[in-house]
Amino acid sequence: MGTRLEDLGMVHETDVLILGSGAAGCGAALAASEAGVRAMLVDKGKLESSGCLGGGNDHFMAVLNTGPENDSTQAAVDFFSGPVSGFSPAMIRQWVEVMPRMIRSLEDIGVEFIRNPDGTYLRTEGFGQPGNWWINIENGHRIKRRLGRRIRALGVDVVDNVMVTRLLTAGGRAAGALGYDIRDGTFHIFRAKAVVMALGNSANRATTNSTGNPFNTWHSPFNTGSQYVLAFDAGARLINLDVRQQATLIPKGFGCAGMNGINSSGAHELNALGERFMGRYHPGMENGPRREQIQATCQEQVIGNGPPFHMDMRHIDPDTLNHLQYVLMPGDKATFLDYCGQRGIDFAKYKMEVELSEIEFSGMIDCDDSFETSLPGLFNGCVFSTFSGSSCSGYIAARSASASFVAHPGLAEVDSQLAASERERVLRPLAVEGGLSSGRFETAIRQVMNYYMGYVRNAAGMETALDRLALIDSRKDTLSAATYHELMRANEARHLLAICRLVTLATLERKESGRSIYRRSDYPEKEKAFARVLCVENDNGSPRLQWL
Amino acid sequence: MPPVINEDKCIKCGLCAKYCAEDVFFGTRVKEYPTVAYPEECTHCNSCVEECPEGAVSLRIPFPMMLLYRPEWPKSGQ
Repeated sequence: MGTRLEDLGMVHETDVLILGSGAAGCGAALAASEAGVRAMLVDKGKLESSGCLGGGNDHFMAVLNTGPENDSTQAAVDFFSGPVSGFSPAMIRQWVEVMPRMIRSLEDIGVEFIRNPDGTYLRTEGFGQPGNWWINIENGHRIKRRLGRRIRALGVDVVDNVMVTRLLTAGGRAAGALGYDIRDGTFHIFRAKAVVMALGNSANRATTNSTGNPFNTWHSPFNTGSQYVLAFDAGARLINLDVRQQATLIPKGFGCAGMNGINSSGAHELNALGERFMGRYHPGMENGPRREQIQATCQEQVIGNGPPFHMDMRHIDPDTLNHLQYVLMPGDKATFLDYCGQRGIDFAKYKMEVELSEIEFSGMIDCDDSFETSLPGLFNGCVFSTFSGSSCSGYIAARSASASFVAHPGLAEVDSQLAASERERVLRPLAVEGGLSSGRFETAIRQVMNYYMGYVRNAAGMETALDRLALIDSRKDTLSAATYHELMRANEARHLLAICRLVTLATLERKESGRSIYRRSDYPEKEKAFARVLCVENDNGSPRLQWL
Repeated sequence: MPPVINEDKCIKCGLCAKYCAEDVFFGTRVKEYPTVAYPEECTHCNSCVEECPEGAVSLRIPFPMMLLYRPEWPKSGQ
């Protein structure tokens, strides 16, 4: 007699299953609600505090077509499209089209987009973009709470504290997901007509900043690459793991950045010699592409011109600095002012010491202009980055997902043997005695990634990294957990390892430098031949790389 | 910046544990003082501070940041 699904855990049925309740998942929930379909939002955190937006945000990127050429849809298309972006012009146009709608939704729930006396939005420049596209936000730390409460009020089904560990497919189409409650181990089976992947772009626990604490990170440390690992395992194609690796500068020891506001206010980055060195590296100085500032700071450090590095803002007018330090920065993370109190930081009076952050590993689930991935029925809610990019991507993905299942109206059957086997796999660390703790397992991954996949890399190092990661992988069945909390960390660590292996493999193929935050010492130049997208596909359990 | 609970103010409502995105209060039960079971995993998102109706939660400066503390600052930062 076969196992009944109901005996394995809780069975849920919905139209659009949204995995991840951060900014992207919330955008998806808004779209599904507008479309009038049943939607279910699942996250291992809690809706009101989950994801990178949980701590707050101080800027929302908005191209508003107000008249000037640099505030137009075309300007956004020109800026974001490129041979290795992974974005088509149609994708970018949809993002710009959704921006005002998302802003209205957010203003409706009380998100405080700051306005000038004439009623226009207070917007600043950033990231080398051609226009002042970043609307400043006040009380940004409250956004997620407000958004969460609105989504519950809209009647979207919310399942908090469930970690998704496997996608379900049927007949070559996404059909749901499997997961378990991180607090009591209850197994959950989700059956759905379409699935939106909104688990987040940034995996930050693979390396650390100088504090050595993997939870003191720029973006949420809760994210260990599930977006990519689940999609890859289910057969969806991944792209840009080799270039979409990011980093920033952070206030020394404080795991949150805010550099968009600092740089765009006109701050000067100084090395240990007191030199404003960015001019030697990029004409845009501190406001050029972020990867240029990261590589330049790294290079200054390698040659001994730092640490320390400082952001000097003392020449900027006091009103701007007051706004930056006491409105924008705490909006990104409320604890910034505690940090300032600790360190005696006053932008108007003193330079602020900064350091290179951890490296976050990212990528993209390849998708078409409707944000549907190469696995039919699976939609990518994390196409673009940042609060704006994530919430709008989620919105577009769920809008498409809501329209997609008309042709596939039924729920697919779930293989109960497969579900039983997954349940056994994810709970197994609870039964292993005297094995590797998730902490030690993760530390081993970080030792490899910090050492061989840092800001400067080469082929021999990356091949060694792959060898070491394979060794760690061979020990994953010895992962041991004493509590459900440790079980969650163990399952996160499995995902972290999987994404690190894929990212390292992909980076090895890109034999050039200059398109990401890292430099390859064996291939230091940018090469025209590599102005292409690299994709990774699951070939019977093994990754297969292909240039598109 | 792991949370510190002021037991004089805490009403044992459990909201801090319920809203923590990193589950650092694992094992906490309603009607008992919250347990900060995994303090090193706190990412100082401030949710517990925000949600506490009694102002009973504050965040402690962690050791790596304490190492950076210099009483003579801001002089040395000039």
